[in-house]
Amino acid sequence: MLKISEYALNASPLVCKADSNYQETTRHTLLANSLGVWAEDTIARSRFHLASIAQEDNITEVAGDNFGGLYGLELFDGRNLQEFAENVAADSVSKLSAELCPSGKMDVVIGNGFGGVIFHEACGHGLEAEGVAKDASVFAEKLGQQIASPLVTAYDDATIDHAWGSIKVDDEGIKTQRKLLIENGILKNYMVDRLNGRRMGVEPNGCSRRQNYTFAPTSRMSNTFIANGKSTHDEIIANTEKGIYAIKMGGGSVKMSTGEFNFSVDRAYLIENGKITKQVKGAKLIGSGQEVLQNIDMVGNNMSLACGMCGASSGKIPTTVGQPTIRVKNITVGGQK
Amino acid sequence: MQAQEFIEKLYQASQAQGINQFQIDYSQSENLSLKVMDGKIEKRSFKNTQHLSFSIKEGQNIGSFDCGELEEKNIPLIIKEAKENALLMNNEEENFFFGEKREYPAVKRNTPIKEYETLDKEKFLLDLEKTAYTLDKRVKKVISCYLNEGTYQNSIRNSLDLNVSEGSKWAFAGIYLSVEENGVIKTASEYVKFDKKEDLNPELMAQKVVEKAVKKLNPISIPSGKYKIVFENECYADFLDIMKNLFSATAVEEKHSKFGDKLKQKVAADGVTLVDNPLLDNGYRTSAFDGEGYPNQINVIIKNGVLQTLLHNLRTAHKFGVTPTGNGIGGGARGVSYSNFYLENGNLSKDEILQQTKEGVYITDLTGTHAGYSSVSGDFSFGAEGFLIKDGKIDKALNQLTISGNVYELWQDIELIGNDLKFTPDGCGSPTIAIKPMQISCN
Repeated sequence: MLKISEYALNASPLVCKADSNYQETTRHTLLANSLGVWAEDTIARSRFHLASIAQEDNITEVAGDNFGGLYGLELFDGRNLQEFAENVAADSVSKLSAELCPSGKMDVVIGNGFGGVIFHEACGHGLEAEGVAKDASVFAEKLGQQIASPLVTAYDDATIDHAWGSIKVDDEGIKTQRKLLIENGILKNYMVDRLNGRRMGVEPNGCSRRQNYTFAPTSRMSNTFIANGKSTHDEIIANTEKGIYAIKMGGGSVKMSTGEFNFSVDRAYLIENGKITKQVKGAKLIGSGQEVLQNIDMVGNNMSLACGMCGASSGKIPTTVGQPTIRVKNITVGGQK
Repeated sequence: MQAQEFIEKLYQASQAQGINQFQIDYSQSENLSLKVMDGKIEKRSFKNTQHLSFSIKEGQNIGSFDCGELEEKNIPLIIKEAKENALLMNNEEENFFFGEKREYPAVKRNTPIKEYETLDKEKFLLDLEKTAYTLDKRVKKVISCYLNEGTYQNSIRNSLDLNVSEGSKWAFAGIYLSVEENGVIKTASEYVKFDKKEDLNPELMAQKVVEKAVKKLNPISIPSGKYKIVFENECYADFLDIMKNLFSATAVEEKHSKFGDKLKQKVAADGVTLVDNPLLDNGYRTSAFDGEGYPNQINVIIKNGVLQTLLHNLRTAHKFGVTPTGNGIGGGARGVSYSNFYLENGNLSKDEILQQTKEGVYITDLTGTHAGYSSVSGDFSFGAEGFLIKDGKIDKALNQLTISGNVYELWQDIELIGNDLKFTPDGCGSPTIAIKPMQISCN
């Protein structure tokens, strides 16, 4: 860890601080209930995060990146840690000269990997039975309907090997599965726990989760992602006349009952005449989840996954978000300019 | 095993092992949680949790081990792990336990009124939900209707003869609902702390939340641009909560705040006074000592726009060469905590602020605040809800907004300060505030 911090500090004289953070947990669970379930599991999970702070004159900027999964220390095996650290350092330095982001409605190209957080927030939460059963989700009673652009197919898959959000059995003792949520824009499945499944009259499908035994489990996401489409990343950029390229998303939130979301963009560039030009900072995306899903008009073929922590009524749990590069038409962008 | 008996055994075992400096932090909490949905009690649960943190000082460092299980057989492991953690660290500056003999202030923390004890809580929630539905046919769904109550006790005992303890009792009810008209759905929430008689009236609470929600219906859009901003008191209190870390010594040393070299300098507009006051009568976060057992005191952070002090724990105070401010977290944790953290009242009523602002945007809610703010640069961009201010009055509701700026500039840009200080349940407080024009975009 000291070495990784050193790589970042040595990458540029403008980097004034580099924090390495490693967390490793082992979670043992035993669940027994009167339905005859006896489920035991042990999961090791580790994650590394690096933050780099760059400073020039009176401007200070921070950038960070992380990787994690169902590993112990072997998480670091085979990774080019120097390159990883230098990239984080370069991100923090390049932000120093970023301009303020313009405001208004524009096309937004969202990068792969953590860009999937927008799907997690704007759609994923609305497909959890917790909200659907109570009619508190905009996607309630929409099974079989076109809720997204035909280019969108999405899964929640807790069975991916070593992925950060994977679990073998859920916190109600049900074996986890790969669930098709949306196929070519049509809503196919919700994520269902036992209690809300009973309310909705459907079978639970192995996605009941909780932080630990002091929380009541409910329907939650695991590894949730938009599947690959046909366009290449370069085609998407080249076909965008004017817009924002949100290469790295920050966090965001959504109101499940209205679908209204807001997201911060951590690293963004202007797209002008099909080319990525200036770096901009302080971009915020707002809108409604239903609209964004319908307005996805290009889907890339470079799907990747990224780690996150998701907080809800059953506590904080590790989840993975993911997507290929996608383009969304006409999002309201809030910037400082 | 009883907690006190366990603490005594752990204390003696540490002494017997010849450990010079050690500390035991213990806390215990009980929590009752009730939820109502569609005229039925959906959830009733009781949680009793305890937490013990044992810390050892070795050289300059404090190492800790935390556990929730107080079994005598674990004592050797607890001591061994804490010691190993202390020996592993190589901090450049010294960490401390507190052991001076000091007087502790007498304080009165916010607590539910006596009448709450006889309240039929299930009936309160059922009435609250039912009234909300009957008040206005535009009410679409009571999404959440709940009550939580609990007690919290904590104690700190260490080898320097410190032995302090404190307890609190609290209750909280909340409602969150959606309303719908012409295909537009809006939401609102309301809460009570049962610290005054009117809080026991579910009808009154239902009225407030429904009124709040329907006001947001039929929103209009405005062009993106710069607008004068008035923040609702509670909304600005939420904003303070997000940026309070700017004033901690730990944020300064981690380069997460630019206020480190601004002491005795003007960092905010005239008339701005910012306080962290753990002794506040009836405050939500009132207490006699901080997480390190240091006696609490009132800290005026900004006085009339001038930065007076940062907030310190024992370690940062020693490092910066100042007296501690009573903002330690304890158990060897290196951070800084806050108590009742608020902007002091000015002279103007909310109506006077609106009149003087004439045209602008009135912000009532901020969203996505956990992500849209970088304390390093001070830049923020949040989602927001609000209303148009027209002819000095609150006018139509606005579609989803974003509000962007920089917090360091924001402190300087405060123009008018109200006289209606209000606290959020998190212990942050603010009056209504008017700010110079800021960038707004509207969906």
